Amino acid sequence: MSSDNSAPLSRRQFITGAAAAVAGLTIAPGVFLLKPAEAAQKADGPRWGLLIDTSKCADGCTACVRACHEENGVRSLGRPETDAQWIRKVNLTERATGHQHSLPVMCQHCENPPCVDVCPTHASFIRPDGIVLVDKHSCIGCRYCMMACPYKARSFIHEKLTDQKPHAPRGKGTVESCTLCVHRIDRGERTTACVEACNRDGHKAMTFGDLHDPDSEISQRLRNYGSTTIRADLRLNPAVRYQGI
Amino acid sequence: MPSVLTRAGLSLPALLAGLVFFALSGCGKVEPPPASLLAEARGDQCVEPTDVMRREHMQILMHERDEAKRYGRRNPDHSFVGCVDCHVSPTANREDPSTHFCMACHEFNAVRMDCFQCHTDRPSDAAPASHRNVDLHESIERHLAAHADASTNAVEVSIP
Repeated sequence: MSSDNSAPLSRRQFITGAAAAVAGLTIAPGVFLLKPAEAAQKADGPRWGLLIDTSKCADGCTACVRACHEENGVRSLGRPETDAQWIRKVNLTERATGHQHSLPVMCQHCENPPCVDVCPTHASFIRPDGIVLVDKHSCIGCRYCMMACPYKARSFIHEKLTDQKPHAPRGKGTVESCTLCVHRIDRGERTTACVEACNRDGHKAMTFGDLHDPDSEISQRLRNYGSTTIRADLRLNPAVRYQGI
Repeated sequence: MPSVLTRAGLSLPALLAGLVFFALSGCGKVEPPPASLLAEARGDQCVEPTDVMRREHMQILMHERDEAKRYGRRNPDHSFVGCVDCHVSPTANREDPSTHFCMACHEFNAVRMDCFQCHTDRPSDAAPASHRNVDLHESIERHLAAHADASTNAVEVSIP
């Protein structure tokens, strides 16, 4: 029986599986295959997200990557295998037609984040506004979240760091990823470093906004033009959505 | 023996209480280092009285960090960045604790803290040394160049 379910179940509820809904998939009485992370979002609060139009994303342009890493003080230590990557450009080629896309991939800020499910210390968490973060005060550096993430969005810091940005503390032995520029959002700004850079360069491939506000630009675009998510089959409901892939 | 104590107007419990009080009177105090070791804060007034801050700054930071981090409810008066911005001089150096407000007191009281393993120890208006800026740009370029090769390029994406 799920420990979260404080109300005792009747024998009938237990046998008919009426209680299964609270605890995910039941494989046998008392054995549950998975328990999704608590959906922290409330319909009345905002849920921040990104929409990326890959048809406008220029091949070879790395403005968003550069802006993100500059904003958050992420720098190379000369070892590409272990250098942190908060956002990266991925080139895709469709085998059948040879059509090529280029698109940025970062933490997708899932509604049901696998990284939060597996974290043994509750360091991985989802904020009420849908941003998925690592609380480095309780991160023990086990890297389960890195293995669980289907987007390879997280990086582990292997070496001692100096000269961090005041709004982006980073340190050896912890895992980190895109924060959706949470410091800007908490200051009341309504844009991220990557979106700003993309707009500045004139590509306008990225839109930031509140997915719960039906009047926001991002919601209207999603409603009018549709979108897809990477690995939609996992049903993680990411807040980062793509058009044109 | 008891008669000696009672004659002196004392009882055993009172003696014990006195001893405990004496022992505890030394606790809960923070010894500030000599003024010459402490850098002046840049603001006019601290967000709380000095004795409160000396005794409870760690509780204040610890208590409110979860609110700030997990719910985005930030109290600008009790922000870590705010402390560093006001108390640490732009020219302070972590290696030389006497120039750094936090380090000076912690060193003096022999209390180890881990804050600056992740948080920056410099105020946000500290002009970054020119070599630092060059470093950052250079390292970002290096970073991009290293990842521009085929190692991160996917061939096909699965769209259900």
